[in-house]
Formats: sequence, structure tokens, C-alpha cells
Amino acid sequence: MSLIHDLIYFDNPALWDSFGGTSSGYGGLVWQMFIWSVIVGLLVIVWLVYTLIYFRHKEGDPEPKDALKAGVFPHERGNVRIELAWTIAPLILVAWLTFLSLAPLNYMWDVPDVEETDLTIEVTAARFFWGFSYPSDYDVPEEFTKCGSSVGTNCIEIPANSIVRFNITAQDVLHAFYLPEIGIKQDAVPGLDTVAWLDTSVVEPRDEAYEIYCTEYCGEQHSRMLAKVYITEVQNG
Amino acid sequence: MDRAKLLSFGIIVTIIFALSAIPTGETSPNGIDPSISSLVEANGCSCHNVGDAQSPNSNVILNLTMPNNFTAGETYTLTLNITGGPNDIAPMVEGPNMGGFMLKASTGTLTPIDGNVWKPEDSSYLTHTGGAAGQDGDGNNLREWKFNWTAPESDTVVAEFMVYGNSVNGNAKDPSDNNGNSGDYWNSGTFLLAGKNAQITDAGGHGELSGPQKMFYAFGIVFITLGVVVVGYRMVDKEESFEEVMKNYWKWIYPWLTTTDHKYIGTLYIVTGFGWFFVGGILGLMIRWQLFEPRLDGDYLTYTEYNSTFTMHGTTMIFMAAMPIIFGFANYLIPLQIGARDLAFPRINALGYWLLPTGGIVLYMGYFTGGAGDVGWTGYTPYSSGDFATRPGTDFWVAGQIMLGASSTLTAVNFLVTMLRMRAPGVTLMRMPLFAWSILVTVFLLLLSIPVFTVALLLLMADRTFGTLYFSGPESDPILWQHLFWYFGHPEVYIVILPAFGVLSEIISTFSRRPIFGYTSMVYAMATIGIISFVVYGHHMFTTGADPLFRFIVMLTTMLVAVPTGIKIFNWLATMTGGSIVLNTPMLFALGTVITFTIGGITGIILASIPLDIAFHDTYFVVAHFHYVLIGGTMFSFIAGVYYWYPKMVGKIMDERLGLLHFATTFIFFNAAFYPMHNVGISGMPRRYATYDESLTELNQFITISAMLFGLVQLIFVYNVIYSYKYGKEAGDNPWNGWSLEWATSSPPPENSFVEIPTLITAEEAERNE
Repeated sequence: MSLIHDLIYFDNPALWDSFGGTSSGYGGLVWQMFIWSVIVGLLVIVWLVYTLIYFRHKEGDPEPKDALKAGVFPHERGNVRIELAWTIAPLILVAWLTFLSLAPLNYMWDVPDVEETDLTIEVTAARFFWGFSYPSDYDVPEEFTKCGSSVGTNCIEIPANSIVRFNITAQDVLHAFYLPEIGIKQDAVPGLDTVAWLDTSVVEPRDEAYEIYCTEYCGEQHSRMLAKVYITEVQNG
Repeated sequence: MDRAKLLSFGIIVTIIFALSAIPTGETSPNGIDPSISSLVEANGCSCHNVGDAQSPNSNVILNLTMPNNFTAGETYTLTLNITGGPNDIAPMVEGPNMGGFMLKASTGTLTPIDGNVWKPEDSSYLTHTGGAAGQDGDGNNLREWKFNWTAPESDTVVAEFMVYGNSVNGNAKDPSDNNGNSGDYWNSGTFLLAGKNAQITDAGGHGELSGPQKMFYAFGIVFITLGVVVVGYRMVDKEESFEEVMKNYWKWIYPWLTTTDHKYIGTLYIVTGFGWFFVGGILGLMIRWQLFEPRLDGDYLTYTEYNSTFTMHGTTMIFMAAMPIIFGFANYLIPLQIGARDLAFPRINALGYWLLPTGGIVLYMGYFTGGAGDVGWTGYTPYSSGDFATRPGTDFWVAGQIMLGASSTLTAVNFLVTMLRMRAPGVTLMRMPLFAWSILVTVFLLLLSIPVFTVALLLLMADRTFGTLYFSGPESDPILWQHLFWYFGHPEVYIVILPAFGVLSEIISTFSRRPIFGYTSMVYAMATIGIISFVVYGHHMFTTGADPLFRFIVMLTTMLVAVPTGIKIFNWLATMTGGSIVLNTPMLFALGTVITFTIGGITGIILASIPLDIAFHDTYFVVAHFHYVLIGGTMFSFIAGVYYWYPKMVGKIMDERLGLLHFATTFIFFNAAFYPMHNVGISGMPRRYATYDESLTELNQFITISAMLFGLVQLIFVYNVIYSYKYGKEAGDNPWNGWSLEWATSSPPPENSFVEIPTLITAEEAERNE
């Protein structure tokens, strides 16, 4: 049972659920993409099955008038109006989907600057570890105990209800900073500083960690280059 | 009949023998003297009992500075240091509790020279000071230590130093005991120092065989023994001498080796392509078996072997299976379809073909030199240009790719000239069959994109072998490779899908018994896809942090690809509407392709949307997407192509019942194997992972079993090809009632393809003549 359940159901990353209703933001985009995928897919499959039912060749059927003959270029067949229709309709559809993609993009790319940010974390990726560090003037709240002593190496704890910015870089080869449950991904490039950010007020604080994966192939232990982010509620934060 | 039974019995016995020989394909491990490792009292220094204290960490690098060799009785000062590991990237200031070590020599005497190194009483090993209570010194505040070693009285021995070093981050203090106890990462190493007169025996070459090597040797054993059995059987059966048998084989194989005939070369391409497809498929199944459950390093494949496996799987499937199969069909069919006797440059054609198996062998040489290339088929720098990738496996990968690139470029020039200059009377450009049109667009893409990739590969090779710094180093741009690669890489995926569109157009039109709907718009759609393909490549780089405007523009252009592709799909459906559909195997595969390709196209649109791509990029969702378009699009339509043109090439029709069985099983198992990858990807499983989160085990097992079955049922296809070659029904010139010129010649075509160069007339002219 659970296999069938797995096949037809999936969890939205937290960020997707948390934006907009059905007409804007992530939630809306995901919903519309899903609906249109099903519509287009069904259209093709239903049409295909329909032709197979109604236009099958049966014994004794006469050849169509414009049947093919070897060495003879067949009659041109077509209808400009119909062809224009299925040129313009997909055009409108993809324009609509592109338009829908803009709202979450606008949000995502609007990286908060230093004043708007509550906490900036420096992330350094190296084969095969994630190093995190708080800013030097940051008072680590007392509630931050989940990483224990390994804080900074493959583990970081961030406050809930705040804007957290990750400044990402790599030491040796490409890596990518991926929070699957939150839907954030950003490559870590040696010699380049990239940015990802997260509004923790849209993510549920919890005792379990949010996993961080490395998603840019980096060598032998690539699949073990994992880290954890804890989101913890802070009293006086 | 009895002979056949005997022969098959012999073959089965051979295979069983060969398979049972795999586990013995190892030499006995000749490891280090076990007494030394047992002399080190603790199994690694897990002073703080936190972190992953149980297993060594390969990123902690131990280095022991020693002289080149030693003289008997002399005393040397040695330096040990540790670098690397996670504690190097976590913020680290010089401070307390940074590291420790334990060192034991197999011979000679160790003595501390300062307060940092300590030799416990009644023991022969050294360790750092400051660790246990009662010792003075600050040895654990360092990551480098010096000590003396007095050589033994004999200089004919080799001294072995066994070292355990650990890297601690003492800044993260636990306030309760004031000990540094962040992650504690350790590694061990063995260093050899030879006496001046020591005889050094080379212990290399006695290692264990790796998993893929065993696989290769097993196949090698199977093929060689099969060859011996077949030759031996012929010798006994026909009472021929060994030379006579060989001479007969040589006579049979010689024309294939020396041919410049497009039909022979086409067949060679197709057979080679499917051969590599088999090899790549085995690699793919090895990937699936590795992912059957979350495995530890070396449970089935080591992680490095796994990385080589997916690299070779991708490279093989794209460059050595899909493209050769396409070139094979193009080689065979283009001259026939445009009414030419051969390609414009037959010898270049032969050169292009022979570069393919050669390049393939070069690519695979890595397996025999300690590990094939492990950079992924994309070969992203700076990983591929740095020291991390396998060597020389990755060099072979680069060299082989350059050869394959040269092969494709030569072939592209050849087809371009042929199609522009050698069309038969009546075959104007707008009267070419759609398969010919798809190849024409494809060769334009090839000519414009492959040279860029070749240049990028040359730069990469220079980085790897001559020490240039195009892709790594402070002055270089690690993203440059991605621009060069995807400028080629994206047209490349259309290079493999456009000919599939051509095949589908031919088959759907023929089996609907009607002309294709909207021939002109089909041609324009293909040309549009070709043009757009050069301005969309940035969608592979949405997460690199490239310029937002650049990313936005490629999102727009990528979305636009859906329009011409949609036109093609709707035109196919319109062709069938009102037709008289005959459901033979080629048509079944073609219609299956329409469905699977549509699903792949839809996920393509989902991935084109930047916010969704940021979530899905480099996960199994992408893997599902491109397997749906590459297997469900390219491979399915070319399997349909085999069923469709096999009668033309061989003169016999392939068995319909086997074909139906092949289609039904393939379609079901394909979807069962690849559809769940969407779910796995949305759940966050990244691609190229050798292990994964346990919660996904069930889905992955389902995928693996389906993939195995998918691979297995392809044997029906192989059997059908061989069976029909012997027992198939005679095809006649035009078994499917197609219109294009290849159906106007005999099956198989005569030596010069046409007895007389045909003239293509239009339907209007044909009606007037009647």
C-alpha cells in the first residue's frame, strides 16, 4: 500500500506551501504546472486512443484517396487555420506559465541586504564537508543546543521567524547547497560568492533537523556530503 | 537438431563456468604485516569520543617528512604533520586542542626531542603530550611534531611507520570540562623508509580487482570461450583445419573492415551503436543495483567505482549508442531517400565510422588503468581539471571524447554535402522525406556545436596534462566550462531527438496510410527547434549564480521550445485522424514514443521554470525527465525504426508476435522504472548519489526491479533480430506501402543502391499520367 501511496503522493517542499494562494507564488505555480501537465498529457493520450478506436484499418477497407505510393511525393495535407491554432495555443500556455514563474522568482531573487537580514551565515563547502560560521558579533542564543559540540561542522542552528542569509563559497571544486524540504538550491563555486536566503517564519521550527545535501557532483564521498540545519525558536530574539 | 542441442548445452556450460570464475578473479591480498597495526595500542585516537570516531576520515591527510633512505645506525629527525579534514574549514584560530598522533616504527628506535612528543614508559611508540593527566607539554595544541628516529643496525631492511593522526577543533569548547571536543576526525597512514641497501620488492599489481573490472573480465571470459567453442565446433563439424576456419571467417569479415559502401557502414554503425547500448545498459543496471538499498562504500561498488559507472553510462549512451544509431540509420537511408548512390565522401564516411569504436575503446581504457573517468558525462571543472578525478581514467575519457567529436564532425560534413548536392531529379528540398529533413537540421547543429566541445576538451586536456589553468586556479573561471559544454550540450540533446522526430513522422504517416499532416509546418518546426536550441543552454545553469537577466532570457527561450514540439505532436495526431491505421510493431513503438515523449516534454516545461528548477535541479526528477526523452523519445523511435527498416536492410520482415511482446513488456517496464524517479526526485534525492536516505528504499527497489526487467526484455528484441534473419517472411520491395524513394528499390538494395537513379514525381503528376 505504501508503495502505491509513494507513487501518487509527494510532499511539497515547505516553501512551496507557504506562498500565495492558488494564483501567485510557489503554491500557485506548482498547482498550475500540475494541472496543465495533466491536461496536456491527457489531451494527447485521449486523442491517440480515440484515433486508434475510430480509424483502425479493417480487412476490406478501401485505401484512402491520397494513399501513399512508392516514389510519389504525396499530396500536401494540412489546414493553416488548425495549424495556427495549435501554434498559438501552446504559445499562450507557455507565456502564462512563464508569467506565473515570475512572482516566486521576484521573491527569490530579491535578496535582502545587510540591514534587512537578521543573521548572515558564512557557508564554506569543501570535499566533503560543510563549514558554517556565525558572524563574529553574533550572540549565539542559549536555546541553540541541538548541534552540540559539532556546531560549525556539518551542522548549524538558526533562529525561527527571522531572515537568514547564507553567503556560500567553495574551497576546491563545485558543490551545491540544497535544502530539499525547503526548496532552496545554490551552487558553491570556488572563487565566487553566491547567496541563498531563507525567511524562517515560513518554515516550521522543529526538533528534527532539515537536511542539507550537496547536489553538484564533487567526487568520491559526494553522496555523504550531508549537513543539518536546525530551526529553533528563540525567546528574546 | 541434436547438434544444435549439444552446441547450446556447451554454451550454457561455458557461461556457467565463466560466471563461477568471477569470484576467483582476485589474487590473495598481500597487505601490510598485521603485527604492526596491532602494535598501535588504540585503534585510532578517539580522545574525545565524539564525532565519527569509529571510522577513519580520508580527508585528514598525514604527511611524514623523511630522508630518501637511511644509513645503518644513524639518527634522523622526522616531521609529522596533519592537514585537511573538516576542522580545516570550520573557523580555526591557533589554539588549544588541535590535534594528536600516535606513531610506531617497525624497526629502529624512536625518541622525543621536545616537550611536544611523549614516549610512554615501557612502550615503543610515540604520541603527543598534553593529552592525559600528568604529562607536561602542549603537544595537543599542534598539528606538526618533530622527533628523532635512530635507524637499525642493518641497512638492508625497510622501516615501516604506522601513523594515526587526528584533527580536533579545540575552539569549540565544552564549557563543562573545557575540553576541545568538536568533531574528532582521524586517519591512519603507513610510510616506508628503505635502508640504503634494501631490496625493494614491488608489491604493486596484486591488488583486488574492482567490481567493474570483474564484470569486464567476466564478459571477456564469456566471449573468448564462446569464440573457442564456435571455432572448435566448426572445425569438428566441417572437418576443417584451424587455418581454413579462420580463412573463412576472414573472408566474411574482410568486406566489413574495408568497405566504403554507405549500406555496410550504416549497418556497422547500427550494430556498434546497439552493442555499446548493451554495454551502457549493463552499466545502468549496475547503477540500479547499487541503489537497490542505501549501501555503504564498497558494499557492492565503492563510491569511486560508482562514480565511474554513471560517468561511463552517460557518455556511452549519448555518444556511443544514441549518436551512432542515428548515424547508422542516416548512413543507410539518406542516399536511398534522396536517390543517391552513396554519400559524397565515402572514405571520410569510413574514417568517421572507425573513429567510433576506437574512441570508445580509448574511453574504456580507464577500466584497465585503475578506474575509468569519474567526472560525470558533463565533466564539470574544476573537478575534472584538478587532481581529484581519476588518473589516467579521466585523461582517457577526454581523449576518447575528442575522437568521437572528430568522428561526428566528419560525418556531419559528409551528410551536409550529400544532401545539398546529390539529390535525384524531382527531390527538391521541400520534397525530401521528413527523416532526411531531420538529419539535415541535425548536421547543421552538429557542425555548429561539436567543434566548441572539442575546443573545450582540448583546453581541459591541456589543464590536465600540461598544467595550464583555464579552468582552475585563482585567475580562471570555473563556470567557463559550463558555458562551453552546454553551448554544445544543449544542441546535442536536439541532435539525438530530431532524427527521432523524423523516424516518427515516417512511420506514423506510413501506417496511417495517409500523407503527413502539415508537411511544411513540420519542416519549419524542426528548423525552429534547431535554431532555438542554441539560445537555451543557460537553463542547465539556473543554480550557478549567473546573471539574473541571462537566466530569465533562457527561461523564456526554453519555454518556446514547447511550441514547435507541440506542433509536431499535434500534426502526428492529426495525421492519424481520418487515416486507416495499421497497428504493426513499428507503429506500436512509434505511438508508445508519442506518449512517453509527451511526458518527457511536459517535465521539460516544469524544469524550464526557474523557481521549480531550483528545487528540482540535479535531483532524480531531472534523471526521470531525460530518460523519458532519451529512451522514451530517441531509443523507442529508433527501435521502431529497426522494425520499420529491417525489411529494407535484410529483405525479411521481423516477427510480429515477438515484436508485440517486446513492445508491451518494454513499454510497461520502462514506465515502471522511470516514472517513480519523478517521485524520488521531488522527495529530494540528488542524482549521482551512491547512497540515499533510507525512507526512499522502497521506491528505489521498485525502480531497480523494473529496470532489471526492462533490461531483460530487450533480449526479446535481440532474439527477434536473429530469428527473423533466419526464419522471417520475405519482405518484398515495399512491405509497409511507404512513399519515399528507399521503398522504390529492392530489399536489400543492390550494390549501387539503385539500378537506375529514380525520379521523384508528385502525386499531381502521377494522377495526370494515369
